[in-house]
Amino acid sequence: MRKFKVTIEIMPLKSVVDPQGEAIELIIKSKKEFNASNFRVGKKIEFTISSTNKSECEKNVNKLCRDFLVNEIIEQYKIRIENEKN
Amino acid sequence: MKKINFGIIQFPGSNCEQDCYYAISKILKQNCKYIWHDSESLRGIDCVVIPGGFSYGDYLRTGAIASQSKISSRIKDFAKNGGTVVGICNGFQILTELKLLPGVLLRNKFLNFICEDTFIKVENASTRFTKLYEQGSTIKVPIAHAEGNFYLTKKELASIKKNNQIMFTYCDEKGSVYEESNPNGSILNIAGILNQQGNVLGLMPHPERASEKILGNTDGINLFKSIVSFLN
Repeated sequence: MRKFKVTIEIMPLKSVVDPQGEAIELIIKSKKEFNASNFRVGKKIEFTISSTNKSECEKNVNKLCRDFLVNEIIEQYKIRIENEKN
Repeated sequence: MKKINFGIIQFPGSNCEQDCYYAISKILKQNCKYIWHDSESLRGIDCVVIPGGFSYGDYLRTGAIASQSKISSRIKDFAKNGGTVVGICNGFQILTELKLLPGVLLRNKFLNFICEDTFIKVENASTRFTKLYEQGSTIKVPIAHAEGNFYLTKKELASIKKNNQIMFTYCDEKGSVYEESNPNGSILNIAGILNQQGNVLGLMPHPERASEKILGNTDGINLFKSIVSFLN
């Protein structure tokens, strides 16, 4: 078994209203200092996992995301897998 | 009439279980017990109530962690075998995470926690949860939530409309449903829905908090009375 470091980036789907992003944008725009828009707020989850190889690891992490960590009605996710440094 | 056995599920962070217990045992005089989330048995239970609160601190997503607990898989089996399940507020959120109900509850449109009386329209009075209400009637029931903005895909929305699964919608005092009578941004003003089989209900308003005259409002008690009547 090998150990992998996993990072999951979860973002609200484009089709779902993101009131947190909208609230941030409202404040940023009121400051008139930056010309920034399209704010979206998501979350990042990190953990380590043991698997026989990288593709097995990817399969397990995808299952974990679909079963629990991500709600695909409203969210999308990206996975990054690296070898865990000892 | 026989006494019905209600089981109220307690998760770490549940905080409306005593209100439900009081309404069911003291006002309706039915049998009622608490069931801790770590339990694996629903033996002898006729109706499962998942109360409001902030199970597991609302971490990850509201209801997501509770949906993975031991008792939740028992609730899933119970519901699949036709058992009566009602989820109120956080209980509704848990039922969507359990996939026993379609959709999801998002943050309220204006991000605020809303705690106030709302008027809701009984859209479907021919179910085990609403049979003692009049079809199309307006009742006053309080809400208290930050994530009550019901959302689901267009395809699922068409499906729940077709199957008469929309149970309650936010309306004004006269029963009109429109944008201004929507407190949280819910799609089609939806406040509560039923599963396709008709045995699982989720709603954001708190009927247990509108169940006794001394509190100034008894509009919610008929929901529990309907269940008792149906199970008899």
